[in-house]
Amino acid sequence: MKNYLVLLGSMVVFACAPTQQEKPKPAELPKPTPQAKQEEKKTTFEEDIKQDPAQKMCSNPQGTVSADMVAKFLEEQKKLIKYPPNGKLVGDWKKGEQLFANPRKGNCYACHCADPKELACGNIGPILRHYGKRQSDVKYTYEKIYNSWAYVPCSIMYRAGVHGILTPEEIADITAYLHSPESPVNK
Amino acid sequence: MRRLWLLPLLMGAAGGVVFYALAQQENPAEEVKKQKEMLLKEMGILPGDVYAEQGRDLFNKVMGTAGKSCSSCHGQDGRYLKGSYAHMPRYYKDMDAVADLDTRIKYCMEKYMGVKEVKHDTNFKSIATFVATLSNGMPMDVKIENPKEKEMYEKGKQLWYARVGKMDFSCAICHDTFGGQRIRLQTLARVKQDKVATHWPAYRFSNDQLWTMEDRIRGCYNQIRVTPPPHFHWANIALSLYMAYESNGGIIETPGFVR
Repeated sequence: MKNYLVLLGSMVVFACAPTQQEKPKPAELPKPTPQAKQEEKKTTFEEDIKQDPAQKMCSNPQGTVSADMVAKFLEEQKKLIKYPPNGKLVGDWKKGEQLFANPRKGNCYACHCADPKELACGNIGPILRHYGKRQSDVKYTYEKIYNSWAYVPCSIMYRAGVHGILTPEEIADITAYLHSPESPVNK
Repeated sequence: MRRLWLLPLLMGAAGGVVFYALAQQENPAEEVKKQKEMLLKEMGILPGDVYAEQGRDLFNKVMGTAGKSCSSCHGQDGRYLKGSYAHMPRYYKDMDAVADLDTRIKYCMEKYMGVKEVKHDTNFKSIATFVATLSNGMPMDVKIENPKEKEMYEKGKQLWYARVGKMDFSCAICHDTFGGQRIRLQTLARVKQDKVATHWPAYRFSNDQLWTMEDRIRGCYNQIRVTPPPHFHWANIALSLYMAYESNGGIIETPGFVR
Protein backbone atom coordinates (compact mmCIF):
# COMPACT_ATOMS: atom_id res chain seq x y z
CA MET A 1 0.00 0.00 0.00
CA LYS A 2 2.72 2.43 1.03
CA ASN A 3 4.61 1.72 -2.14
CA TYR A 4 1.60 2.59 -4.18
CA LEU A 5 1.11 5.83 -2.28
CA VAL A 6 4.71 6.82 -2.94
CA LEU A 7 4.28 5.91 -6.57
CA LEU A 8 1.05 7.87 -6.78
CA GLY A 9 2.64 10.82 -5.01
CA SER A 10 5.57 10.94 -7.36
CA MET A 11 3.24 10.74 -10.30
CA VAL A 12 1.21 13.64 -9.01
CA VAL A 13 4.41 15.68 -8.69
CA PHE A 14 5.42 14.64 -12.16
CA ALA A 15 2.00 15.49 -13.49
CA CYS A 16 2.06 18.94 -11.95
CA ALA A 17 5.61 19.89 -12.77
CA PRO A 18 5.22 21.22 -16.31
CA THR A 19 2.17 23.31 -15.37
CA GLN A 20 3.87 25.41 -12.71
CA GLN A 21 3.40 28.38 -14.96
CA GLU A 22 -0.13 29.13 -13.98
CA LYS A 23 -2.60 29.44 -16.75
CA PRO A 24 -5.58 31.76 -16.47
CA LYS A 25 -8.80 29.83 -16.07
CA PRO A 26 -10.40 29.21 -19.43
CA ALA A 27 -13.22 31.62 -19.99
CA GLU A 28 -16.59 30.14 -19.21
CA LEU A 29 -18.58 29.61 -22.33
CA PRO A 30 -22.05 31.03 -22.13
CA LYS A 31 -24.50 28.18 -22.59
CA PRO A 32 -26.52 28.82 -25.71
CA THR A 33 -30.23 28.91 -25.03
CA PRO A 34 -32.24 26.24 -26.84
CA GLN A 35 -33.67 28.93 -29.03
CA ALA A 36 -30.26 30.28 -29.98
CA LYS A 37 -29.15 26.75 -30.79
CA GLN A 38 -32.06 26.27 -33.12
CA GLU A 39 -31.30 29.53 -34.85
CA GLU A 40 -27.71 28.48 -35.34
CA LYS A 41 -28.82 25.27 -36.98
CA LYS A 42 -31.10 27.03 -39.41
CA THR A 43 -28.41 28.70 -41.49
CA THR A 44 -26.94 26.76 -44.36
CA PHE A 45 -23.57 27.04 -46.04
CA GLU A 46 -25.17 28.87 -48.97
CA GLU A 47 -26.73 31.45 -46.67
CA ASP A 48 -23.55 31.90 -44.68
CA ILE A 49 -21.36 32.60 -47.70
CA LYS A 50 -23.56 35.46 -48.92
CA GLN A 51 -21.39 38.57 -48.81
CA ASP A 52 -22.08 42.16 -47.90
CA PRO A 53 -20.83 44.80 -50.40
CA ALA A 54 -17.63 45.42 -48.42
CA GLN A 55 -16.79 41.71 -48.23
CA LYS A 56 -17.29 41.51 -51.99
CA MET A 57 -14.87 44.39 -52.55
CA CYS A 58 -12.25 42.63 -50.43
CA SER A 59 -12.56 39.24 -52.16
CA ASN A 60 -9.60 39.37 -54.50
CA PRO A 61 -6.05 37.98 -54.62
CA GLN A 62 -4.66 41.42 -53.70
CA GLY A 63 -6.69 41.32 -50.50
CA THR A 64 -7.54 45.00 -50.57
CA VAL A 65 -9.53 47.63 -52.46
CA SER A 66 -8.15 49.78 -55.26
CA ALA A 67 -6.34 52.94 -54.20
CA ASP A 68 -9.07 55.29 -55.46
CA MET A 69 -11.70 53.44 -53.41
CA VAL A 70 -9.89 53.51 -50.05
CA ALA A 71 -11.24 56.84 -48.75
CA LYS A 72 -14.85 55.97 -49.60
CA PHE A 73 -14.47 52.47 -48.17
CA LEU A 74 -13.15 53.75 -44.83
CA GLU A 75 -15.88 56.36 -44.63
CA GLU A 76 -18.62 53.77 -45.26
CA GLN A 77 -17.16 51.46 -42.61
CA LYS A 78 -16.83 54.27 -40.07
CA LYS A 79 -20.58 54.87 -40.40
CA LEU A 80 -21.25 51.35 -39.11
CA ILE A 81 -19.66 51.99 -35.71
CA LYS A 82 -22.07 52.34 -32.77
CA TYR A 83 -21.17 53.41 -29.26
CA PRO A 84 -22.46 52.31 -25.84
CA PRO A 85 -25.62 54.20 -24.79
CA ASN A 86 -23.86 55.52 -21.67
CA GLY A 87 -21.06 56.91 -23.82
CA LYS A 88 -18.36 55.08 -21.83
CA LEU A 89 -15.71 53.67 -24.15
CA VAL A 90 -13.76 52.16 -21.26
CA GLY A 91 -15.58 49.48 -19.29
CA ASP A 92 -14.60 46.79 -16.81
CA TRP A 93 -11.16 45.32 -17.56
CA LYS A 94 -11.89 42.11 -15.64
CA LYS A 95 -14.87 41.38 -17.84
CA GLY A 96 -12.72 42.37 -20.77
CA GLU A 97 -10.13 39.79 -19.78
CA GLN A 98 -12.74 37.02 -20.03
CA LEU A 99 -14.10 38.32 -23.32
CA PHE A 100 -10.60 38.64 -24.75
CA ALA A 101 -9.89 34.96 -24.14
CA ASN A 102 -13.34 33.49 -24.83
CA PRO A 103 -13.18 31.63 -28.16
CA ARG A 104 -16.86 32.35 -28.80
CA LYS A 105 -16.51 36.03 -28.02
CA GLY A 106 -13.37 38.08 -28.62
CA ASN A 107 -11.14 35.09 -29.35
CA CYS A 108 -8.33 37.65 -29.49
CA TYR A 109 -5.62 35.15 -28.48
CA ALA A 110 -6.13 33.40 -31.79
CA CYS A 111 -3.98 36.13 -33.35
CA HIS A 112 -2.61 38.34 -30.57
CA CYS A 113 -0.38 37.67 -27.59
CA ALA A 114 -1.11 39.96 -24.63
CA ASP A 115 -1.02 38.52 -21.11
CA PRO A 116 2.36 36.74 -20.82
CA LYS A 117 0.64 33.93 -18.88
CA GLU A 118 -1.29 32.92 -21.97
CA LEU A 119 1.18 30.88 -23.97
CA ALA A 120 -1.20 29.58 -26.60
CA CYS A 121 -1.44 32.79 -28.55
CA GLY A 122 -1.18 33.26 -32.30
CA ASN A 123 1.29 35.50 -34.09
CA ILE A 124 -0.77 36.85 -36.97
CA GLY A 125 -1.61 40.11 -35.23
CA PRO A 126 0.79 42.44 -33.40
CA ILE A 127 1.74 41.58 -29.81
CA LEU A 128 -0.44 43.62 -27.45
CA ARG A 129 1.83 43.37 -24.40
CA HIS A 130 2.06 46.80 -22.70
CA TYR A 131 -0.49 48.13 -25.19
CA GLY A 132 -1.75 50.74 -22.74
CA LYS A 133 1.74 52.17 -22.33
CA ARG A 134 2.15 52.67 -26.05
CA GLN A 135 -1.32 53.77 -27.01
CA SER A 136 -3.39 56.38 -25.19
CA ASP A 137 -6.16 56.88 -27.74
CA VAL A 138 -9.08 54.98 -26.21
CA LYS A 139 -11.48 55.94 -29.00
CA TYR A 140 -9.14 54.47 -31.60
CA THR A 141 -8.95 51.17 -29.69
CA TYR A 142 -12.73 51.00 -29.34
CA GLU A 143 -13.35 51.74 -33.00
CA LYS A 144 -10.63 49.40 -34.19
CA ILE A 145 -12.21 46.50 -32.28
CA TYR A 146 -15.71 47.49 -33.35
CA ASN A 147 -14.80 47.77 -37.01
CA SER A 148 -11.18 47.27 -38.03
CA TRP A 149 -12.12 47.97 -41.65
CA ALA A 150 -12.76 51.60 -40.70
CA TYR A 151 -8.98 51.91 -40.35
CA VAL A 152 -7.50 49.27 -42.67
CA PRO A 153 -9.59 48.22 -45.67
CA CYS A 154 -10.07 44.43 -45.74
CA SER A 155 -7.93 43.90 -42.62
CA ILE A 156 -7.77 40.29 -41.48
CA MET A 157 -9.10 41.43 -38.10
CA TYR A 158 -12.78 40.64 -38.09
CA ARG A 159 -15.36 43.34 -37.48
CA ALA A 160 -16.52 42.20 -34.06
CA GLY A 161 -19.03 45.01 -33.53
CA VAL A 162 -20.42 45.09 -37.05
CA HIS A 163 -21.23 41.38 -36.93
CA GLY A 164 -22.61 41.60 -33.41
CA ILE A 165 -20.14 39.11 -31.97
CA LEU A 166 -19.38 41.72 -29.32
CA THR A 167 -21.82 44.34 -28.05
CA PRO A 168 -20.68 47.97 -27.63
CA GLU A 169 -20.43 47.39 -23.86
CA GLU A 170 -18.32 44.30 -24.35
CA ILE A 171 -15.99 46.17 -26.68
CA ALA A 172 -15.65 48.86 -24.00
CA ASP A 173 -14.66 46.10 -21.54
CA ILE A 174 -11.95 44.80 -23.87
CA THR A 175 -10.78 48.38 -24.44
CA ALA A 176 -10.42 48.67 -20.66
CA TYR A 177 -8.49 45.39 -20.54
CA LEU A 178 -6.01 46.78 -23.07
CA HIS A 179 -5.64 50.23 -21.50
CA SER A 180 -6.04 49.76 -17.74
CA PRO A 181 -2.76 49.99 -15.76
CA GLU A 182 -4.12 47.20 -13.48
CA SER A 183 -4.69 44.84 -16.38
CA PRO A 184 -2.15 41.99 -16.79
CA VAL A 185 -1.57 43.29 -20.31
CA ASN A 186 0.18 46.35 -18.89
CA LYS A 187 1.68 44.89 -15.71
CA MET B 1 -5.00 -1.17 -2.48
CA ARG B 2 -8.51 -0.04 -3.24
CA ARG B 3 -7.12 3.09 -4.82
CA LEU B 4 -5.39 1.06 -7.50
CA TRP B 5 -7.96 2.08 -10.07
CA LEU B 6 -6.59 5.61 -9.85
CA LEU B 7 -3.35 4.50 -11.43
CA PRO B 8 -4.43 4.43 -15.07
CA LEU B 9 -6.30 7.69 -14.54
CA LEU B 10 -3.17 9.37 -13.24
CA MET B 11 -1.06 7.91 -15.97
CA GLY B 12 -3.50 9.33 -18.47
CA ALA B 13 -3.26 12.72 -16.79
CA ALA B 14 0.52 12.58 -16.86
CA GLY B 15 0.41 11.69 -20.52
CA GLY B 16 -1.92 14.60 -21.14
CA VAL B 17 0.44 16.98 -19.40
CA VAL B 18 3.41 15.71 -21.39
CA PHE B 19 1.34 16.25 -24.51
CA TYR B 20 0.44 19.74 -23.32
CA ALA B 21 4.06 20.56 -22.57
CA LEU B 22 5.03 19.38 -26.04
CA ALA B 23 2.27 21.49 -27.51
CA GLN B 24 3.87 24.58 -26.00
CA GLN B 25 6.95 24.29 -28.15
CA GLU B 26 7.75 27.19 -30.41
CA ASN B 27 8.89 25.25 -33.46
CA PRO B 28 5.90 23.43 -34.96
CA ALA B 29 7.94 21.29 -37.36
CA GLU B 30 9.94 20.05 -34.40
CA GLU B 31 6.75 19.27 -32.53
CA VAL B 32 5.39 17.17 -35.39
CA LYS B 33 8.67 15.29 -35.58
CA LYS B 34 8.67 14.58 -31.85
CA GLN B 35 5.06 13.40 -31.86
CA LYS B 36 5.84 11.13 -34.77
CA GLU B 37 8.87 9.64 -33.05
CA MET B 38 6.95 9.20 -29.82
CA LEU B 39 4.08 7.35 -31.50
CA LEU B 40 6.46 5.21 -33.53
CA LYS B 41 8.35 4.29 -30.37
CA GLU B 42 5.19 3.41 -28.47
CA MET B 43 3.20 1.68 -31.17
CA GLY B 44 5.73 0.80 -33.85
CA ILE B 45 3.36 2.17 -36.49
CA LEU B 46 1.69 5.53 -37.09
CA PRO B 47 -2.08 5.67 -36.56
CA GLY B 48 -2.59 6.94 -40.10
CA ASP B 49 -0.92 3.82 -41.48
CA VAL B 50 -3.17 1.65 -39.31
CA TYR B 51 -6.19 3.34 -40.88
CA ALA B 52 -4.74 2.85 -44.34
CA GLU B 53 -4.25 -0.88 -43.65
CA GLN B 54 -7.82 -1.06 -42.37
CA GLY B 55 -8.81 0.65 -45.60
CA ARG B 56 -7.01 -2.03 -47.60
CA ASP B 57 -9.02 -4.77 -45.86
CA LEU B 58 -12.28 -2.93 -46.50
CA PHE B 59 -11.25 -2.30 -50.10
CA ASN B 60 -11.02 -6.05 -50.65
CA LYS B 61 -14.20 -6.81 -48.72
CA VAL B 62 -17.56 -7.46 -50.37
CA MET B 63 -20.08 -4.78 -49.42
CA GLY B 64 -23.57 -3.91 -50.63
CA THR B 65 -26.17 -5.79 -52.65
CA ALA B 66 -24.17 -6.29 -55.87
CA GLY B 67 -21.84 -8.79 -54.21
CA LYS B 68 -18.80 -6.79 -55.17
CA SER B 69 -15.85 -5.28 -53.39
CA CYS B 70 -13.83 -2.30 -54.58
CA SER B 71 -11.22 -4.79 -55.73
CA SER B 72 -13.73 -6.51 -58.05
CA CYS B 73 -13.19 -3.64 -60.50
CA HIS B 74 -9.96 -2.04 -59.32
CA GLY B 75 -7.92 -5.18 -58.76
CA GLN B 76 -6.70 -6.88 -55.63
CA ASP B 77 -5.31 -4.20 -53.28
CA GLY B 78 -6.33 -1.63 -55.90
CA ARG B 79 -3.55 -2.37 -58.32
CA TYR B 80 -5.40 -0.58 -61.15
CA LEU B 81 -5.77 2.53 -59.04
CA LYS B 82 -2.06 3.25 -58.77
CA GLY B 83 -1.49 6.93 -59.49
CA SER B 84 -5.20 7.74 -59.70
CA TYR B 85 -5.16 10.11 -56.75
CA ALA B 86 -2.46 12.21 -58.45
CA HIS B 87 -5.10 13.33 -60.97
CA MET B 88 -7.95 13.97 -58.54
CA PRO B 89 -10.32 15.73 -58.33
CA ARG B 90 -11.27 15.25 -61.97
CA TYR B 91 -14.16 14.86 -64.38
CA TYR B 92 -15.78 11.40 -64.51
CA LYS B 93 -17.71 10.45 -67.63
CA ASP B 94 -20.09 8.06 -65.87
CA MET B 95 -21.03 10.77 -63.36
CA ASP B 96 -20.87 13.61 -65.90
CA ALA B 97 -19.43 15.63 -63.06
CA VAL B 98 -16.22 16.53 -61.31
CA ALA B 99 -15.59 14.46 -58.19
CA ASP B 100 -13.04 14.52 -55.41
CA LEU B 101 -11.74 11.40 -53.69
CA ASP B 102 -14.63 11.20 -51.22
CA THR B 103 -17.39 11.84 -53.74
CA ARG B 104 -15.96 9.33 -56.23
CA ILE B 105 -15.73 6.56 -53.65
CA LYS B 106 -19.29 7.25 -52.52
CA TYR B 107 -20.51 7.10 -56.12
CA CYS B 108 -18.70 3.80 -56.75
CA MET B 109 -20.07 2.24 -53.59
CA GLU B 110 -23.64 3.30 -54.28
CA LYS B 111 -23.83 2.82 -58.04
CA TYR B 112 -21.65 -0.24 -58.62
CA MET B 113 -21.56 -2.03 -55.27
CA GLY B 114 -25.13 -1.35 -54.15
CA VAL B 115 -24.22 0.08 -50.77
CA LYS B 116 -27.12 2.10 -49.40
CA GLU B 117 -26.59 5.46 -47.73
CA VAL B 118 -22.83 5.66 -47.65
CA LYS B 119 -21.72 7.47 -44.51
CA HIS B 120 -18.57 9.56 -44.17
CA ASP B 121 -17.36 7.54 -41.18
CA THR B 122 -13.98 6.14 -40.15
CA ASN B 123 -14.37 3.08 -42.37
CA PHE B 124 -15.16 5.27 -45.34
CA LYS B 125 -12.22 7.56 -44.58
CA SER B 126 -9.95 4.53 -44.21
CA ILE B 127 -10.84 3.39 -47.72
CA ALA B 128 -10.21 6.91 -49.03
CA THR B 129 -6.85 6.97 -47.28
CA PHE B 130 -5.89 3.60 -48.69
CA VAL B 131 -6.77 4.72 -52.24
CA ALA B 132 -4.66 7.86 -51.76
CA THR B 133 -1.66 5.84 -50.56
CA LEU B 134 -1.67 4.01 -53.91
CA SER B 135 -0.28 7.23 -55.42
CA ASN B 136 2.44 7.77 -52.83
CA GLY B 137 5.74 8.92 -54.25
CA MET B 138 4.14 10.28 -57.42
CA PRO B 139 3.91 13.98 -58.25
CA MET B 140 0.51 15.66 -58.03
CA ASP B 141 -0.66 16.10 -61.61
CA VAL B 142 -4.16 17.58 -61.78
CA LYS B 143 -5.24 18.78 -65.20
CA ILE B 144 -8.01 21.24 -65.93
CA GLU B 145 -9.19 20.41 -69.44
CA ASN B 146 -12.86 19.50 -69.40
CA PRO B 147 -15.27 22.48 -69.32
CA LYS B 148 -16.76 21.14 -66.07
CA GLU B 149 -13.30 20.99 -64.54
CA LYS B 150 -12.70 24.60 -65.60
CA GLU B 151 -16.01 25.67 -64.12
CA MET B 152 -15.31 23.83 -60.88
CA TYR B 153 -11.80 25.28 -60.64
CA GLU B 154 -13.16 28.81 -61.09
CA LYS B 155 -15.76 28.18 -58.38
CA GLY B 156 -13.02 26.95 -56.09
CA LYS B 157 -10.84 29.96 -56.78
CA GLN B 158 -13.76 32.26 -56.09
CA LEU B 159 -14.45 30.56 -52.76
CA TRP B 160 -10.76 30.67 -51.94
CA TYR B 161 -10.67 34.47 -52.04
CA ALA B 162 -14.22 35.14 -50.79
CA ARG B 163 -14.38 37.05 -47.51
CA VAL B 164 -17.38 35.52 -45.79
CA GLY B 165 -19.24 35.13 -42.54
CA LYS B 166 -19.03 36.80 -39.18
CA MET B 167 -15.26 36.56 -39.11
CA ASP B 168 -14.78 38.19 -42.53
CA PHE B 169 -12.33 35.42 -43.39
CA SER B 170 -11.35 33.82 -46.64
CA CYS B 171 -9.22 30.74 -47.19
CA ALA B 172 -6.57 32.98 -48.76
CA ILE B 173 -6.14 35.14 -45.69
CA CYS B 174 -4.86 32.26 -43.60
CA HIS B 175 -3.32 30.06 -46.24
CA ASP B 176 -1.72 32.63 -48.59
CA THR B 177 -1.26 35.95 -46.83
CA PHE B 178 -0.51 34.68 -43.33
CA GLY B 179 0.49 31.12 -44.22
CA GLY B 180 3.28 29.78 -42.03
CA GLN B 181 2.16 31.84 -39.04
CA ARG B 182 0.06 30.62 -36.14
CA ILE B 183 -3.55 30.83 -35.00
CA ARG B 184 -3.20 29.93 -31.34
CA LEU B 185 -0.72 27.05 -31.61
CA GLN B 186 -1.92 25.85 -34.98
CA THR B 187 0.51 26.62 -37.79
CA LEU B 188 -1.28 27.62 -40.96
CA ALA B 189 -0.34 25.67 -44.05
CA ARG B 190 0.59 27.61 -47.18
CA VAL B 191 -1.32 26.14 -50.06
CA LYS B 192 1.26 26.70 -52.80
CA GLN B 193 4.58 26.35 -51.00
CA ASP B 194 3.48 23.45 -48.82
CA LYS B 195 1.64 21.69 -51.69
CA VAL B 196 -1.12 20.97 -49.22
CA ALA B 197 -3.11 18.47 -51.27
CA THR B 198 -0.19 16.02 -51.26
CA HIS B 199 -0.55 15.01 -47.62
CA TRP B 200 -4.30 14.55 -47.26
CA PRO B 201 -6.04 12.38 -46.06
CA ALA B 202 -4.06 12.86 -42.88
CA TYR B 203 -3.93 11.72 -39.28
CA ARG B 204 -4.28 14.64 -36.88
CA PHE B 205 -2.48 13.94 -33.62
CA SER B 206 -4.08 16.90 -31.86
CA ASN B 207 -7.51 15.28 -31.93
CA ASP B 208 -6.51 11.70 -32.79
CA GLN B 209 -8.63 11.57 -35.92
CA LEU B 210 -8.27 10.64 -39.54
CA TRP B 211 -9.39 13.48 -41.79
CA THR B 212 -9.86 13.70 -45.54
CA MET B 213 -9.53 17.01 -47.36
CA GLU B 214 -13.32 17.40 -47.09
CA ASP B 215 -13.06 17.17 -43.31
CA ARG B 216 -10.27 19.75 -43.35
CA ILE B 217 -12.32 22.18 -45.45
CA ARG B 218 -15.37 21.68 -43.25
CA GLY B 219 -13.24 22.17 -40.15
CA CYS B 220 -11.91 25.45 -41.51
CA TYR B 221 -15.40 26.77 -42.29
CA ASN B 222 -16.53 25.75 -38.84
CA GLN B 223 -13.70 27.70 -37.27
CA ILE B 224 -14.58 30.86 -39.16
CA ARG B 225 -18.20 30.46 -37.97
CA VAL B 226 -19.64 29.58 -41.34
CA THR B 227 -21.93 26.54 -41.43
CA PRO B 228 -19.73 23.96 -43.19
CA PRO B 229 -20.92 22.57 -46.51
CA PRO B 230 -22.19 18.99 -46.00
CA HIS B 231 -19.93 16.16 -47.10
CA PHE B 232 -19.86 15.62 -50.89
CA HIS B 233 -21.09 19.21 -51.41
CA TRP B 234 -19.82 21.00 -54.54
CA ALA B 235 -17.91 23.52 -52.41
CA ASN B 236 -15.71 20.73 -51.00
CA ILE B 237 -15.01 19.50 -54.52
CA ALA B 238 -14.34 22.99 -55.87
CA LEU B 239 -11.89 23.89 -53.11
CA SER B 240 -10.22 20.47 -53.28
CA LEU B 241 -9.73 20.94 -57.01
CA TYR B 242 -8.32 24.43 -56.54
CA MET B 243 -5.87 23.26 -53.88
CA ALA B 244 -4.89 20.08 -55.74
CA TYR B 245 -4.14 22.11 -58.86
CA GLU B 246 -2.07 24.56 -56.84
CA SER B 247 -0.22 21.55 -55.38
CA ASN B 248 0.81 20.21 -58.77
CA GLY B 249 4.37 18.94 -58.81
CA GLY B 250 4.40 18.12 -55.10
CA ILE B 251 5.16 14.51 -54.21
CA ILE B 252 2.19 12.67 -52.72
CA GLU B 253 2.81 11.31 -49.25
CA THR B 254 -0.33 10.01 -47.54
CA PRO B 255 -1.59 9.58 -44.92
CA GLY B 256 -0.17 12.89 -43.75
CA PHE B 257 0.78 13.45 -40.14
CA VAL B 258 -0.41 16.85 -38.98
CA ARG B 259 -1.18 18.70 -35.80
